[in-house]
Amino acid sequence: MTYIQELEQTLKDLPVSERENIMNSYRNYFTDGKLSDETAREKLGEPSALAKKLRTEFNLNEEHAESDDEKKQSLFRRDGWLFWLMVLISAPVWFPLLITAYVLILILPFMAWVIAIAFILASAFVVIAGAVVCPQNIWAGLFYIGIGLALLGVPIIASSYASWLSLKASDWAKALTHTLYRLIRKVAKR
Amino acid sequence: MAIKIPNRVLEAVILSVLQEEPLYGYALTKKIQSEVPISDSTTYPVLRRLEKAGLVTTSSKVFAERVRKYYELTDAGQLHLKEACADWLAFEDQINSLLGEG
Repeated sequence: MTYIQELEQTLKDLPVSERENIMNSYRNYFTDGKLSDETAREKLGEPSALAKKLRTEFNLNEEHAESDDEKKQSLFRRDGWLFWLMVLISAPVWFPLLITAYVLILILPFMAWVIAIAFILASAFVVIAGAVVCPQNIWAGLFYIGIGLALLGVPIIASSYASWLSLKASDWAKALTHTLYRLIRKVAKR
Repeated sequence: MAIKIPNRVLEAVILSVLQEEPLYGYALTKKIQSEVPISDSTTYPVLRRLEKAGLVTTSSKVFAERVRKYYELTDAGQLHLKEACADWLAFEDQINSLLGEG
């Protein structure tokens, strides 16, 4: 992503007219100054830092936007108890769901490993059985050995999924916790 | 120069430069930078603030197939510039006298 695109991304929450104004100015600035993305980063700072600056400026200017925010806040405060009551009433639904989500995240890689190991054991068993049968009936023996080797395909696939899931498990658990934390903080702030 | 230019002074500087001639953002920044080191990222927010306060107006001119926004001083801007100049001179005096004592 170019600097300009990144800046536009981070200003998504501003009103269109304001954003267009800003973007037009910086696009011109880039062309006039013949700035590459690197020199822009040196001169203007990271897009996110610049966006923060511009947003502060915007908030300072938009007093009516602030009062809108305040209105929203007071509305929320008046209905605050209603919100918490709903949280409480819906607890039998969201609490088990939440626990299930965590358990699933942790148990999925475990399950994949169990499947992989089970198939390795099954494959070993069938190959050994085939080898035992071989002296009496070579074709039946080879048939079993073949099936046993074919069964090895499952753990090969399952183990790659399992290692991927184990790698991702901590990420997902972290993301879920982070989302929860942000949600709670947002609600608490109001 | 190790001293960071205060926003209020930068506002006055921009108004003063625009009093000479209407300029577009980049040219304005370069002109100020030829005298005082300011960050490239500071000009636009200040210009936007001045525009919203009605101290400058903008007019769009097409240049090389893109729209360039020229900033021009308004009467209110003139007035503000005068006040800011007076404020600055008073401030300068105060600082000078304090520094002179040291």
